[in-house]
Amino acid sequence: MSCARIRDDLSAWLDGELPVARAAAVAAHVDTCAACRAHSNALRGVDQALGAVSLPELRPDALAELRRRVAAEPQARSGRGAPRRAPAPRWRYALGVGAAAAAALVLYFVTATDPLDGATPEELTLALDLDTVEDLEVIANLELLEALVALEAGRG
Amino acid sequence: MSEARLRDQDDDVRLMLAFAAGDDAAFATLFERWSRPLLRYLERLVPEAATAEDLVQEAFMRVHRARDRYRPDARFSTWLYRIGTHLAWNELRRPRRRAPHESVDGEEAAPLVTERSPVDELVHARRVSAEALVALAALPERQRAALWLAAVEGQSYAEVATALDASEPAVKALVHRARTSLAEALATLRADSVGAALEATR
Repeated sequence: MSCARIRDDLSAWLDGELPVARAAAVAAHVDTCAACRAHSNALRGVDQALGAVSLPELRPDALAELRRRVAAEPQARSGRGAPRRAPAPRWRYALGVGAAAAAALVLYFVTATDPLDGATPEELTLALDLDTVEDLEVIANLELLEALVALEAGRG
Repeated sequence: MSEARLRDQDDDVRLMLAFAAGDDAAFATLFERWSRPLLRYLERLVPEAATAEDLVQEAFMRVHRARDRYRPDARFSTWLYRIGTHLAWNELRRPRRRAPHESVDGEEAAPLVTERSPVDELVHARRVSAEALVALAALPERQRAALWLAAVEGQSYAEVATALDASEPAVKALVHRARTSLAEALATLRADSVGAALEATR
């Protein structure tokens, strides 16, 4: 097997992401080919260098700050009838009614987490940015996935 | 992976479910466990350490907000890094924060210079690590993210694919290109420093 083809797979081999047979072939080649072994060691050196980067410290009050921000969150979900600690009935409802309900459910969630609810002027400005809209789409997609997974699994 | 299996295999999933059931201490534990690794990752994605720390706050705000809807269909860390990655990329595309030299195109993002000075990095890490960070910062942002998650965080390509909204073959290619580029950059830097050392002793 050519060295070029081996080198295409060295990175995935180091990550343990090759199929068993292919991994064995790469290992056998690296054992006998000094040039590919050197290449493999150079790649490994990258991981060692990056892995030695220490964990940064957060501000000491980071968790307190987070709790403060959470407490200051606009209570988007209050006043919409669904108590915060009782999410299960919504899911059971969706399971009973099926896929159409799931779509509605996703819409509900998107609306329920609308950052515009009770937002400060600064937050309103933020929400009008295009990238915030994209961000909401990402979250909406996550929720669509979650809804579909829950439906497929047949549980609430 | 089934919910039960995930709960058994991933203690974070257990904590997140406990938090969803009202256990606030479980949220604090998740924050203590994941905020620093997440910050270290986000510092690779956005130019300023202070911004990265804000994004950590924002990511955990999302976790807090989503607790009622949380369904363990992946490891907790995969979900958290996915949120963090998207927040970072949105941040980079925010027009008013973009420096003149920065590009909007994802694959050709501008070289990243961290706020922390190279001198600080030398204090905190070995020289070669600082060099690797400089070389990493020059990579396109998707390569940067993929390599970090695979090589440093030890995530599987499937997990990285989830975090980056990419396919597994794409992740394999991103990691391969990133790791190869960094290996070449480190080799060049070492050759340069050997050359400089020889020059100095002449």
